[in-house]
Amino acid sequence: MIRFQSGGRTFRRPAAQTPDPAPAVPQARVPARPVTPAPVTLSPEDARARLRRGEGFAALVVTGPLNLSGSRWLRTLPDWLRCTALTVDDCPHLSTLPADLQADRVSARRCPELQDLEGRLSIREGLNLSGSGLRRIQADLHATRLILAGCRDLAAIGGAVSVAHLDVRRCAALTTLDAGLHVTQTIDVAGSGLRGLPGQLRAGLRWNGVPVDARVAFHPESLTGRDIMAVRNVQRRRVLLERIGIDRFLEDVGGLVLDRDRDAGGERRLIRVPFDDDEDLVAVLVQCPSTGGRYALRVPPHLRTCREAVAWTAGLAVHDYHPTQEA
Amino acid sequence: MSFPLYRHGDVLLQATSAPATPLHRQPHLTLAHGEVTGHRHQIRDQHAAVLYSVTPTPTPGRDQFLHVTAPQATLTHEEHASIRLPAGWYRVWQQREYTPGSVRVVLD
Repeated sequence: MIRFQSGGRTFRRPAAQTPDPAPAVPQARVPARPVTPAPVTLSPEDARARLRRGEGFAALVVTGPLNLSGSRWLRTLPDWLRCTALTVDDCPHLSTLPADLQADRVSARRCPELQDLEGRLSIREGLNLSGSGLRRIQADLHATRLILAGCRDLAAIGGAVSVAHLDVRRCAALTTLDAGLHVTQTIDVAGSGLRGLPGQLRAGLRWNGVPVDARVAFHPESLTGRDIMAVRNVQRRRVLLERIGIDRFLEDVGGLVLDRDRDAGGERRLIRVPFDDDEDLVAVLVQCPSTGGRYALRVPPHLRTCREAVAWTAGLAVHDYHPTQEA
Repeated sequence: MSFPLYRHGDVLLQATSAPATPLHRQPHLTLAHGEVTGHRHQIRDQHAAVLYSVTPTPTPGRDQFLHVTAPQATLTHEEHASIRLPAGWYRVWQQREYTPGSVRVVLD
């Protein structure tokens, strides 16, 4: 029996296999498929009860959706698992997913201890890991949809990952994508650390679901306020506004001053810019009392005074917003 | 009489009575973390305060309570001036901004 280490896990291969040719060049580490132990087949209810009791399974087939969400007792899952749907959202101590997993859908959202994703995962529909503690993916992973939104510490997606749709929104630590990554349809990059895609990757770019081009996604400094005023599509215009920033947009196009007053930072202004076919843009411009920096925050368009607007940004009524100290 | 309110950049703290709801003690004193800048609004004095979250898996900047256990604690940030907070309980949250169809927490 051959054993070898991959990403901290031990995998076995059948002895009867033909010898592997010597590797010519180092490849991305992808674990070999292990020998399938004789699986235990259980209903979802039985599987949950026996896992809850701490029973270990080398291989488990669950004859339906296995929902273990919110289980504080859950630390690991069987290394070999087949089920229709696996849901392990909000499991604070879950540190790994099965090394060999096949399912229609998998959801492991907001699992802070889930930091490494390894092994072989074949997920027919979607794998949702949003808000988890993922730092690294090094897996043989096939899925229609891979959702990593809000994985703030995720820095690398490696191995052999092939998906139709990839969502890396708000993955601020993810600054590059591996050249081996295979995405056939879309990548949503809103708020990620990405500043471009590998040259061979031809997937369509999305920004919070809205189709965008590389200029909007990665070079917002080249946009102008007048570009945005000329965009007719409301969804696209909103994305462009987000990319250029309210401050620079107002610098470029001006706007109608609805109100002025002063606070600890100096003068405040409430500005309105009317749009065709969409609600007005109303923003309050303030100055930070300790840094001196000016910034603008968009507020609901019905507000008419700076005091109302700033109180709204704090989630307070205007008569409740009286800061003792601001810095 | 309203309770004292402090604004530290996009982070707001308001003095409050001890909360009656169950709280989850946090192993750090970072009130909010700038995803883009990496800057942190945090209590400098490690033994002067305890941070709690209302939810088991907290989102910094939301649903938090700070208990200043020393006579005072200092709230710091890489860019903003420091604020000294007297002993007591504080509700902690972040400013919000409007986008058509949604309201979201300000991100720096």
